Amino acid sequence: MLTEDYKEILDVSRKFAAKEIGQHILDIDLEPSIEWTKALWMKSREVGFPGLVIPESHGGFSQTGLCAALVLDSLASECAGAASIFAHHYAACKCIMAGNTTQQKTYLPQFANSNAEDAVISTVVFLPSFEDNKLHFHEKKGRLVLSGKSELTANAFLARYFCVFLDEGNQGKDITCIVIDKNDPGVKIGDSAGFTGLKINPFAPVIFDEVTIERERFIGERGKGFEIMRSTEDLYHGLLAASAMGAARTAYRKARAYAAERYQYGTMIINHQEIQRMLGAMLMKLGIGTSGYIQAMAGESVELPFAEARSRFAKIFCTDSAVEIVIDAIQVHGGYGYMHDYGVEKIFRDVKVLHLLGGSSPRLHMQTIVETM
Amino acid sequence: MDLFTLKYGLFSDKPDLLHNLPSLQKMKDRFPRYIKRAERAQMMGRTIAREVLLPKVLELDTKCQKDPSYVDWELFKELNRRKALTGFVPEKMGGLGWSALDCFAFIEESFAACVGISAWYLFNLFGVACAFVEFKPEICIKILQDMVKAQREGKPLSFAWSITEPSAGTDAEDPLAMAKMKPSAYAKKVSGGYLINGRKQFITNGDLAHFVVATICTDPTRPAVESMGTFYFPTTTKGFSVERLEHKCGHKAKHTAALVFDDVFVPDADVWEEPGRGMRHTREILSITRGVVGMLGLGNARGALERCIQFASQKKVNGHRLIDENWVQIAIADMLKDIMILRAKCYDFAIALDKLHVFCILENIPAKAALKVLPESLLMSESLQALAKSPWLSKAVSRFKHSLVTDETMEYFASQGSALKVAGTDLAMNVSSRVLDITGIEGMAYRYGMEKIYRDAKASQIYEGTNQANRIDLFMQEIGEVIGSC
Ligand SMILES: Cc1cc2nc3c(=O)[nH]c(=O)nc-3n(C[C@H](O)[C@H](O)[C@H](O)COP(=O)(O)OP(=O)(O)OC[C@H]3O[C@@H](n4cnc5c(N)ncnc54)[C@H](O)[C@@H]3O)c2cc1C
Repeated sequence: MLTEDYKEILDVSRKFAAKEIGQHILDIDLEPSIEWTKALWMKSREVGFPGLVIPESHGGFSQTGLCAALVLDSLASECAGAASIFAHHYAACKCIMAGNTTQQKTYLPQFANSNAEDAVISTVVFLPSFEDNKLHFHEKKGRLVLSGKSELTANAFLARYFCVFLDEGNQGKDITCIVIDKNDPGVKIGDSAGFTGLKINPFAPVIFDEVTIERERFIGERGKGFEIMRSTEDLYHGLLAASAMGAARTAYRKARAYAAERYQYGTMIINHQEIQRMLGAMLMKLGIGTSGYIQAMAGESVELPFAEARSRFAKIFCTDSAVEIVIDAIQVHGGYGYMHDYGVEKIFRDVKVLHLLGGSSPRLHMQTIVETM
Repeated sequence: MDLFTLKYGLFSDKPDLLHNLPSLQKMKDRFPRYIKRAERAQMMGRTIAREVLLPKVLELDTKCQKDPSYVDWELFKELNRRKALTGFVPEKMGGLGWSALDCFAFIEESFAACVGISAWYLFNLFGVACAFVEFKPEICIKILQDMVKAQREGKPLSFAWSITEPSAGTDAEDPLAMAKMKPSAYAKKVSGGYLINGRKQFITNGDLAHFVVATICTDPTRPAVESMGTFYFPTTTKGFSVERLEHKCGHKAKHTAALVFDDVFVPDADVWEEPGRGMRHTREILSITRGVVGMLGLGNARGALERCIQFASQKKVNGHRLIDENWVQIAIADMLKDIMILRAKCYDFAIALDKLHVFCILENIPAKAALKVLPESLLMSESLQALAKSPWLSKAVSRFKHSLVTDETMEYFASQGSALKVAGTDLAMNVSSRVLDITGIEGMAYRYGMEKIYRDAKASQIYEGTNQANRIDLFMQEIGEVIGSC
């Protein structure tokens, strides 16, 4: 399924991740700084990551969602926080790619960072879970303005552009997608929510205080953005699934290596069957999860009833599994796994955030069935 | 958003011990004081949780993340003032005279507020338990007196119990494993005592402790289990140092230290267990503390669930509260069910401790009579210490204690405690993760404290013996003898 092209890109991203992220990440995790994250983004421009999924005609590399997922898998194997920045950026790219020619011409070359001096990072704001201070349009002096708050926004301190979804009918159907510039009057970024996972990418509230929305900011027609949201979510879920697998892969690798180093009961702990069972279960989840997201992103389902490979399913399975894998990976390490230096507890913190991004598993399960009703 | 608005759990005003454990009603008929005091201990725990701990939970987590050596002495003083550390000391000596049941009722509330802070001030008592397990009267009396003095003066007095070594975690706790342990520390016999060299790992309060109780091997040529002894020394002893404090995932308010011993001299009098008996000492302490960690798991789970209930009753989704949703109610009920069942076992364990384990000592006729007749001034005096030092009394009391707490009792509690420890800490991990699935990503925001509980939970599956080691232990105790050795 993976062509030579993919393998080459994967090789580049693995090397990039090891050199630019892996070497520093445990120190950075203790004292993260936005400057470091921005510098990482600037370096990623040299290997073309910002524009990966953007068409070549707009300064990108025309790569598929699958390719993006694989890249994030390898970034996440060094730091899921880094992968999360790109996941939100690619999702925003996907929104714009559903826009009209002018919008594509305006935004995509910027999103691809093809010639801008500064880092141009974007992000996506999906429908919020809760109703407090919900995003809504209203009229002000004949202008259409947006107000409300997106409580938890990824890339909040990094993003120049926000692709925002709103639900005007409150039924999850009349979806509108707009693009907003951080510099638009009325856009404010609140304090970090203080997630202890994905720390290099602090999430924060973004407040829209009567932000004027001109017509050219609508991606697709107002109220008709359901399909755009769905396809953006499909990509986003696949990217989260891949990130979770990447992070969990490292947790497994560390646990497997440690189990062959550590002696208790007079033998390497890997000789204890219970440790073998735990490691075996991890490997199984990694195997099924990884092929699951690859199939979903490649759009290749098996032709059997109820055997669809959907990226939402992959997201649920991969993030559920990643949480389980990391909990066990710490356990295999005993007390050492709980300590920062060994790098597994960071993954434990990271994957729990990935687990909840894009909807928690029970909610997504319910949504799947509601859609069939 | 003020998270705690419902009058529920930590925030309910009435004791609910009897509601949670209805069978205690029967016991209340026979032993009204026993049950009433437990209800008071529960409410004291709840008040301390609300007034002292909850306001500090996130502050300490943040500060200790930045600087693992940070200590909030004001908080400690307040806990001390309220006798949170001396509850188990006999009333006549200045404590609250708590039974194991009282202690459990108290710590459940404390753990539900914050297992990190609670482990900091309560695990201190594990060191005290070390003394009571041996029950040399002069040691016990001195420690009790010192604790009460420290409490009165508002000063800290800390103990660290150190068994884990860099090379040996499970190996230092399990007799079968210890047979093959490769120690990282040794004690060498010299005239008048022992010289200790080597390292200990992951020691709770290792940097704050005034005294260390350490299990250490004395003979490199024999299997570790045969030469393991128990040593006691003040941390001012020359050659003792703290190598570093760990940056942990959670449990941040509680320090975890790596210790180095460089020719630390321990006089013979402070050898609490002769070489060869250290494992037994460890086992007896574990037979109590594993049950406590089971309760810690319960508190951890409760803390997570209560925060989730508060959160879900405030957040609105599609025109209703999150907590009005069918799947949420079913998930919450499912977790409540597990907590209820576990709680019954926890208190069963506590009451059994009162009847059969160290707690029964003070309830026993000679001790009870002594406490009754001796005046307070004598109880707190050095002459009592001196009297207790007399070899015949020391031996007699020690023998008396061992006749009360037999080896069978200890092994029985070890397996009960193992079951509780695994059940409690697995539940903690499970519930603290599941509540976040209910709240969704918003519940991860630091200010709600739920993700902290998730981080805390993971440690409890590891210490006091990993949950694997505890399962092996449970199996060996319950089934091992039945099937015989192969
Ligand atoms: C926060 C914290 C506080 C602590 N406080 C203290 C303290 O105050 N005093 C103290 O002495 N220690 C303390 N410890 C240490 C703790 O008791 C040890 O971490 C624990 O006993 C496990 O030992 P280990 O870390 O060396 O893991 P190991 O023993 O190396 O175990 C590694 C893995 O192998 C598994 N394993 C080992 N043998 C078997 C087997 N036969 N079958 C199946 N699996 C097996 C274990 O379950 C584990 O998953 C603390 C630890 C932590 C995390």
